[in-house]
Amino acid sequence: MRLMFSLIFLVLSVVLSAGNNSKVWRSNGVEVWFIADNNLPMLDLSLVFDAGSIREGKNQGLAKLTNSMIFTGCGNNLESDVAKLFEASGASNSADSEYDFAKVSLRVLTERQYLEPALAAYTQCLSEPRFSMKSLSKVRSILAAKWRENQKDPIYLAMGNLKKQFYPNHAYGRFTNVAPKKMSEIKLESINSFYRAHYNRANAKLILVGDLSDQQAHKIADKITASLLKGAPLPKLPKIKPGLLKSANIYLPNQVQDTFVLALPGLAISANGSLALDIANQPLASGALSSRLMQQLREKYGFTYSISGLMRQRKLAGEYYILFKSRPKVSDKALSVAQQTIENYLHTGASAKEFEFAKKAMINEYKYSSSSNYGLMQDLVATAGVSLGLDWYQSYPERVNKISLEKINKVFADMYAKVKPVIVRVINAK
Amino acid sequence: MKKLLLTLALMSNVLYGYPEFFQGKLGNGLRILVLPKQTYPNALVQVWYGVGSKDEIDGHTGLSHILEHMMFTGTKDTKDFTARVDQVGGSHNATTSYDYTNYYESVPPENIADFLRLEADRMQNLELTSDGIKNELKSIVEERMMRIDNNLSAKLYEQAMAALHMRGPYHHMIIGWMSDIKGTKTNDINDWYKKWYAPNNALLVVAGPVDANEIFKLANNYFGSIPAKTLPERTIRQDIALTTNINFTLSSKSFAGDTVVMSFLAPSLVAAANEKDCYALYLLACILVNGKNSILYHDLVDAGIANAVSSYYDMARQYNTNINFEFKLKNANNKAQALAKFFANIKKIAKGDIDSELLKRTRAMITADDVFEQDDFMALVFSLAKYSIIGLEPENRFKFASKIAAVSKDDLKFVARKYLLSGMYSQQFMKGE
Repeated sequence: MRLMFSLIFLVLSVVLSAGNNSKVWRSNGVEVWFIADNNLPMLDLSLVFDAGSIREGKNQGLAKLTNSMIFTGCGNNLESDVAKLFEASGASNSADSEYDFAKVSLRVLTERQYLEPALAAYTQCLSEPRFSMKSLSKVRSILAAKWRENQKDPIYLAMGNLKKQFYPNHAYGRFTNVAPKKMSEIKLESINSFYRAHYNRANAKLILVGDLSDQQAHKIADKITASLLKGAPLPKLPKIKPGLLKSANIYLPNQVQDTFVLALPGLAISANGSLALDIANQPLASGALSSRLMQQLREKYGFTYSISGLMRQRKLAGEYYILFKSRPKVSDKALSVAQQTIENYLHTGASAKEFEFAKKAMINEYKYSSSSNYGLMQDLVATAGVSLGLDWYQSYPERVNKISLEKINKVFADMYAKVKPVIVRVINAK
Repeated sequence: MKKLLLTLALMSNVLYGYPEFFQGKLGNGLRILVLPKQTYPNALVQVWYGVGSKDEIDGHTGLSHILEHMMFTGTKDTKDFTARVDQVGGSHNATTSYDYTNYYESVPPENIADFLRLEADRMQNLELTSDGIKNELKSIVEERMMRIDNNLSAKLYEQAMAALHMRGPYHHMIIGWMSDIKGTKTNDINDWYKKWYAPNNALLVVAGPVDANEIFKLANNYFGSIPAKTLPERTIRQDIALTTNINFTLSSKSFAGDTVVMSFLAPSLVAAANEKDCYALYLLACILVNGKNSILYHDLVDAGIANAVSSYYDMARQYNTNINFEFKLKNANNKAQALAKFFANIKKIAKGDIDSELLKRTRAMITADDVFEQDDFMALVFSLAKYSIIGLEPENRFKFASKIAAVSKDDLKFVARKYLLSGMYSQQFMKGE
């Protein structure tokens, strides 16, 4: 019996590479990343599927809705039965869907009495999902409530406006949770077929972080991957046609501050220069007190509480946003100071000192993030979700250190040279 | 220096399965907490002061938070604290709470001594200027607008808490009332700083790849000579038991949906006559709203009355506090039904009608969460320091799961009756338009 297990083990698991405490291999065709961490008796695991909203085609909201239906029933278990299986082990199960990917996760103690039933429930939910009309109705209602809440959030509204302008007729041009009317048009059959086409071995990566031996990790991986449908590779994604950008005002009741989002196109995550752009954002708009925008708008003028730049980098495209809020009395001045500060930064570029500090801060942030299983898992899911490898993530400090000051200043200036930033402003509706 | 080092006692607390930590105290009263973790990439340096919004009086609310902002404006020797952090690629921030104010840096371990020196410096040598304060107040006004005034739910909650804690120390929000913020004078902040920022009202925390003995020596070196102060005597303002329920109803286009929040006065670990009440109340809230098999998820969400149910209760407070239950309704007409179900279930619990299986699963979730929470070392350090600054032994943090396990059905019955049925409540009803 033992011998047979070893043979199966060899066939199912093909080792691809190995790091210090990390291993990569294939299990039933699925790439597995395992990072051993024996500090606490717990395991985090996530299956990352190529099932984000970029895969939903014209069925707006289908990716989010499908993902939200996972754990609402499987085999003969109703939603509450499924929940009981996890709760009894103290395990925490979750699912989420983004633009580029969807994930299904589990956090559980590694003592056998907890681990085994939780893994069995997790595996069953993925292999034998049972999506019912009752659950669909409940999930729709919860997502609709969230959507309505978002319609009252000025930043959400401004970002929504910009997304639409950036990517008309593309999934990146809308939020993953779409309007309730669109959600109500999605049929149960569509959810079932989206699930079958995307939540399968051909489109999955499995990530394990925690207190397991190599042997345990292989065994768990094999069990999970074997339970998934085989599936088929998905078609290549078409390129995005960028839209024309225009500044806009949005009116919202009861606003005592104006909300500003300044935006322009950035780079996709794997594009040459994407990391350089990230570094270039730090001295200008990291959100730290020392950034140039904070120094000007907050420290010098007291126009805002916080201002920060967000480099959004996804699989197919990216954008750059600068966000802040300011009281109406001074908001025009605040905008003008922000624009002038950006102009000055483009003129001078980051200084050698700012560049050094930025690199150090980013590497330290990376170290901090990867110091907890939770933070590490978040990072790895985001990496796997945009089809990049574990090596890419682990080489982050090295890649940051390799970039030159000239490079970051050039890519940042190039970004601004292509298009003038547009401004979306959310103002009180009188 | 040696004279001041009177009670530097190295106390190791190793509890099974939990990280090791050490505590000590300098002669000037500065308490020290060290959590070594050799695999952690950065050193965490924190100074916590035992002063927060609970200590403020009417007309001067928000002072602790304003002072927190001003602590970054510099001393004679260090004009720019932030620049020092940037130089080493570190990160830093501060928070003000009801019970405390803390300052924290995450820096490379080789820079620990520098930041101990900087923290010791700003504990005693802060330079405040009228212009600096005038300017900082503008950004604090913006912060208040962002957190509260631009958010009707937060505004309503602020008023509801002021009514529920009519006279108690948690009467006002941490950031303070807008008119108080705007009316703050340089002297107010200076006085606040001089009154409360003293080694005998502070806790130094160092964590990460460190040696506890080394840290105690460094702490003594930099903080040991700072004289203790006579701290102001605190007049504890006790909450008044409400004679009637207070209902706040607000309709607005700013609300996306219809939400009802029920707030009850509740005990804290420090102030409770019997700390068991806190654990029982926590467990009670969990069986009501945690997870898809919780009582109210079943009765409200599964039954189509609400889209979400949740609760909030922070028992690690210095004074008696509040417990909140929030129901995001499917529509405003469901409010009466939701509240009827809520109180019917509380009454059932008060009679001892409690599902043993649900209780078992809920305890399993809490036990597991207790381990999961240790995954984030920085959060764990904050949690232990919080316990310590409010006057609890840090190891209590590690007894959480066992205390929950010791809660009986009788305890649940008792707290359901005492805190949720006998007392009055504040109800906030937000209706979307």
